[in-house]
Amino acid sequence: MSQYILRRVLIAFPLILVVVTIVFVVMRASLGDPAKVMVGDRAGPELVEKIRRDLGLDLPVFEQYLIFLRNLSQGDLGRSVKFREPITERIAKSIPFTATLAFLSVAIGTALGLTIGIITAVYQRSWIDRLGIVTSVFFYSIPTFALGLLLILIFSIALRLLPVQGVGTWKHFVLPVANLAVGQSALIARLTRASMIEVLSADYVRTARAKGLNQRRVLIRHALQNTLIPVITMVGLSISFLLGGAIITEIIFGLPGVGSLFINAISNRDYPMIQGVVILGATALIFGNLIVDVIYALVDPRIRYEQGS
Amino acid sequence: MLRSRAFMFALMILLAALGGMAMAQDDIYAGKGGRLVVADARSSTSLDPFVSSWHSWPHYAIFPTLFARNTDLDYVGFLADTWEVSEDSKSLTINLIDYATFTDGTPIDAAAIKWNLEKYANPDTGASQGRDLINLLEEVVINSDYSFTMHMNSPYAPLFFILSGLEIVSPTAYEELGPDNFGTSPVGGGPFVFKELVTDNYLLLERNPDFTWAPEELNENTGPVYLDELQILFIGDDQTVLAALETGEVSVAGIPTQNLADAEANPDIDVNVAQLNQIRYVGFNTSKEPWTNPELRRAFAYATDRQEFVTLAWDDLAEPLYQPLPPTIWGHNSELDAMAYSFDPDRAREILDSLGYVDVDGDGLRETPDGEPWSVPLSTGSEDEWRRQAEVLEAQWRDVGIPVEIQLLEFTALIDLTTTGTHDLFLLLYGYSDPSILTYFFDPERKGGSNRAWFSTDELSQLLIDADTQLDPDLRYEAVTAISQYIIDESPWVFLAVPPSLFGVRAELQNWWIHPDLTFMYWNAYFETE
Repeated sequence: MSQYILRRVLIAFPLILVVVTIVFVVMRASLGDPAKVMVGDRAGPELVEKIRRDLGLDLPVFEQYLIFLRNLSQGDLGRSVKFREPITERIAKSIPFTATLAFLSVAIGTALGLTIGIITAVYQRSWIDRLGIVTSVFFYSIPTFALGLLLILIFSIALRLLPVQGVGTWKHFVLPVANLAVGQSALIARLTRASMIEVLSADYVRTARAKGLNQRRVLIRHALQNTLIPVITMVGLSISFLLGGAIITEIIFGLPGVGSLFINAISNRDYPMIQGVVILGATALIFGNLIVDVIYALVDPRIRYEQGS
Repeated sequence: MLRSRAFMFALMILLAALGGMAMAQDDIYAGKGGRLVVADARSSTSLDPFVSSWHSWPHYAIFPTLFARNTDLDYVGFLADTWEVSEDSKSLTINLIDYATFTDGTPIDAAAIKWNLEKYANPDTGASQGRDLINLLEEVVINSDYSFTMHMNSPYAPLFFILSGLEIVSPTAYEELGPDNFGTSPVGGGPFVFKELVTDNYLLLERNPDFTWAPEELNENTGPVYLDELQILFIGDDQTVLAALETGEVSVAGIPTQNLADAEANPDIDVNVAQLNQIRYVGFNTSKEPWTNPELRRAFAYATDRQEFVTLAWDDLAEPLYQPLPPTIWGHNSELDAMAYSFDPDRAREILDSLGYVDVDGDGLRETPDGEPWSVPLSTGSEDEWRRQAEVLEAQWRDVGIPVEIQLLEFTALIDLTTTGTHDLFLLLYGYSDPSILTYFFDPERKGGSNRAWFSTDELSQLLIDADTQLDPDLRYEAVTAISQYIIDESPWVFLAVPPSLFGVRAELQNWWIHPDLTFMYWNAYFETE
């Protein structure tokens, strides 16, 4: 198992280097002059040149790349063009909001999805099943931004129960988490239902029932564990979608997370910040998938043996 | 004994009078206060004025300035008490009020102002705000504790405008905290004091209890302000802002044009509609054929129906514009409108015919004088607002036979394109508060930079210098009028519209007003409290 993890970690590093290189090249190729962004476009050429020198933008691109890699290896992502603060510090301030939002959304979405999936599978073809399918299709189909505005309209403007935006109390997280968790739960519910129906018709479940085990024991001890394997895969895959959804959610609900930081950096043309957030996001995604793979291998030993052989 | 009684009596009267004065002072604050919550995404910037390239709500709440502008847009003192311009207009002596202090307790004196001005004028600081002082300010001489003289290398008319925008920071605090930390723990001497910053979410300020030096001409109560706190939310999404305004989480916010009717229908929101100090215009790259010909450029001006433009592109919320300065910028002369090239499609057709741009193949669109197909590239931003404006222009110009090809670009790419000199027509905006902005756009030294029309002549350059070095307001106004007249005649731009400023303010907020320069005046505003 440790060899499997080590091998996966070693594969992750070159992947991150590729991402870093692509991000560096794209940033240099696509954005305007960061020096002009810093001093505003009314600044004279002398001032712009000075800022360019300070940022090292007057150096050849390859040299800039090597300096960038050297700094990155020391955990230095540079300074924000807009705020002139260390990027790592700004990202570090944003991470708790995004992490809280993502963790709660995944946890609540998965728990809700599993519950609905199991219930609809058990009561297959009943009205409960049909209601579950219709609801999950609806919530899976509705775009994140539309659901967000709908939630604000109902719970903030009409009912005045929850705040529209901001941070500070647990109430501020209710709508953003609901916005992300609902889509996640719909996806998990549909997958769990399909997987559970398949597992429930398997021979070992029939055998378990024939042994006289009650429904609850059959479901939890025998069916659920095998149902979990594709669900875990889907949770891992949904992390990337969740990051995209988190950006929109943070903007709509005014949460100062990494998503808001990213969008603000784009609108401010703060290229070192965009670079930093993309690198961080890609790294988080790579390691997130790595963790899912490890959990997957733990749950299903066949994975590591197959990979090993 | 009698003398002692008389003394006691006099003392009692004095104490009663003092008590009365104190009560009167307290009375003006009774039942007033609250937290003003403002939504402004653009305010999410460094609070260090030497770093930020955007200066708005937070900066002018924390830091004072030397001057302010009254409702006639004339300059009045803020930290400056009296001032005098030398005969050669190259020196300005300012006597400061002697009771203003920074919130760290240090005095706002001549030494502090000198430190600030020299830091702004130093190119190594890299401050966008002070860029006009670079190569202009020769030295600052301290005359006494509260008096100093600025010596410039030439007269500079926008100097008062510049000084009314430069935030004055506490040198002591800046040097203690350093540039890395001042942006998150700023120390000024304005009406509010920094309290809390949640990065990318909000900034919270509280009343500066020592602030008593607000400009009298603009503030009935010169301080401290009535409001207890000012919170600036950095919300970016328009619909979220509007929802927060509806629920009362936000008290002041901009309103998207498409939501104006909803906001106006809401009894809890007062809507303020004004004209921005911005314009929308089409520029020609006058360094490139065929746009070097002013007659051809005038044909486009004649072909543009500004009234229809503001109706179709702005739902009649914008105002048509016929000169380079909008009415919201000092120097605008409404008499010039009558001399401008207004909508006259027949005249446009006449000019195009005379220049050889005629419809050869009978498809309703003109060909070039060589008989080749003609296509006029019009570059603009990719957002809806810009696309809509470009489409209206395309339709209007097509009516006189001009075929237009719209190119939608990301804004940075669009600005970069105009610096290359390879572009043709561009639809853009500018926003400012002083007519010196015209130097920025028509300075020959700025071709390849902000002179996006690549337009300059010796005559125009001289007119710009005349206006920028004339400190007498009447003479400067005449000089600015001459510039506007020249630009209208030469038509490097087709002036289109002055866009609207739409503010929504919660009805509970009392005593606010909008300054003619569009600043939201809230230093005397308050919520009723128990």
